[in-house]
Amino acid sequence: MSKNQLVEMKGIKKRFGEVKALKGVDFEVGENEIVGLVGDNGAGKTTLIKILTGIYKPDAGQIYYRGEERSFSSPRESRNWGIETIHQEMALIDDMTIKENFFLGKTPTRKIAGVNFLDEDRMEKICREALEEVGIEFGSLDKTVAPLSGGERKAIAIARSMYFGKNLAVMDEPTAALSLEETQRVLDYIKSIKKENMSGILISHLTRHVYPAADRFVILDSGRKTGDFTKGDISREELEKLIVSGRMSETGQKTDNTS
Amino acid sequence: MEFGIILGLLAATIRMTVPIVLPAIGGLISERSGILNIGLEAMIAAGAFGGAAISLATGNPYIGILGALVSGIIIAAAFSIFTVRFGGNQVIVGLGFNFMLAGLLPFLSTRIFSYRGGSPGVPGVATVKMSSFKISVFEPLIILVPLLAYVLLYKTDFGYKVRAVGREPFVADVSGIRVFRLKYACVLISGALAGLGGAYLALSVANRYTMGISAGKGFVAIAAIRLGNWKPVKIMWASFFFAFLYALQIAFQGSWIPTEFFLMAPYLGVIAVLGGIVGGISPPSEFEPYIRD
Repeated sequence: MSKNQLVEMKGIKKRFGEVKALKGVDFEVGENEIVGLVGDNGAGKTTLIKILTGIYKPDAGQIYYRGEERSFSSPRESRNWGIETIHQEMALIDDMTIKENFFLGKTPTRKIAGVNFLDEDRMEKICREALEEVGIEFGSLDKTVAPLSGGERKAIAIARSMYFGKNLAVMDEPTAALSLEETQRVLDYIKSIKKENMSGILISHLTRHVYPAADRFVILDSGRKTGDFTKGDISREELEKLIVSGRMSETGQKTDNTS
Repeated sequence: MEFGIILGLLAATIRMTVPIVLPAIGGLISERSGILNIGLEAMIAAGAFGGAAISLATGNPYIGILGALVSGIIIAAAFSIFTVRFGGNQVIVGLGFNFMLAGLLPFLSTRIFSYRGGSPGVPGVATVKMSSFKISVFEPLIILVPLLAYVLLYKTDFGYKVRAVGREPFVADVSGIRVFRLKYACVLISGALAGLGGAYLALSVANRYTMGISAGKGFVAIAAIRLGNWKPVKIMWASFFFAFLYALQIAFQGSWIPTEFFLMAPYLGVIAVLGGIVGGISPPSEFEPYIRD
């Protein structure tokens, strides 16, 4: 498949002190393509995504976005390019309201005497509509999110990413700690991404969630890319096996080192 | 007679509220962004010094007020480099600034005023006297500044981002909020307001700068923030309360109760609040330095 690439990351390296989290990874996402980024815990999936979304700076490597080299030096920058991320660390602030959380960082405002005041009416309207879109309703949007369930919180994060996302939705373990019904809602959302002509990156170690949702699978293992398959070329069982074999070889290495 | 005492007490309370509530609201904004400003005391003192110096130099106390704001901001800028840029321990850096200013100001005072202990009399702001009350441009700020702070924190985009940054800097950052820029801005605002508190002491109460003029007001302000549970209007009432404890010593001068007891009263109040006996229990931030990478 020779598609136009939305994102191309080349030779990405990142180390944290002594730990080499990424050892030169190439990673691409095509236009209107969902990529499943899979691998065991500690494989470097989240680090790679945090580099793409401007949270970490890579030690080496280039990022191309729609064919042009970009640095993504801050999350703000990547967001301005239409990349929305649902981070694994739940990106909501407990003692702020549903509405405030929904608009975090991108609030509708009204300028009065040079000061940007919050446009509460527009916030209310947009937020309510966006939440309805993902099939969830709250009585008042002015309540804090602290007492909400994991699924309800994820719904807010998803609604936000749907509303603000223009080009790329990045989801880091979006189905973690969700009920079956809530998981289904997330998977439905991933399908809707393609309809909106967006691309997506779905990070998970659960092949039963990734496999049906993604078009292509990139496997990371200990900071290296060890596989890149389109869905037609690999079955779910084979994918599962590759992730697990990565795990096996790693434990194998460890025993080698100690002996 | 009785009525006179009450009026006097009220007037003294209002007078003592200004240098507490202004730094307290400044400190609130800084704390809301996640920076515990222990250096308020230093910024009040710098404001008093700068205000007196500029008022003396220009002969205009209102330019002196500007000088006080700038002095507070300069100290706050230095404080922010250590706490925001380098992620230093906020308590230690803040205490360091308080000690540093306690040494620096007598030095500067010797150089500028040729007297270590303070300035000569300087032009003060105009005041209107009504029985026991003395009203200047500063007194209305007691109500105005907390109300403005309320609007800023809860009704504007700036305040909304500040609250997010203080509570969850990482979440704010990944949402595209400029975390560092906001923290700097908030610390500078706290410096300006603390400086303004200092200006009041030097340009309205004493009409001079004297060594130790801030006399712990910065710490009382920090206690007022806690007692006010990090809410602007509640902090205003908390500042009134501490000011009232100060005012008691004036009202009860010469009574059978030892004056020393009343001198201690505000600080006993501070200890009670900062020790957690009374006052807020849910700070709006962890006050940990934020480092992105």
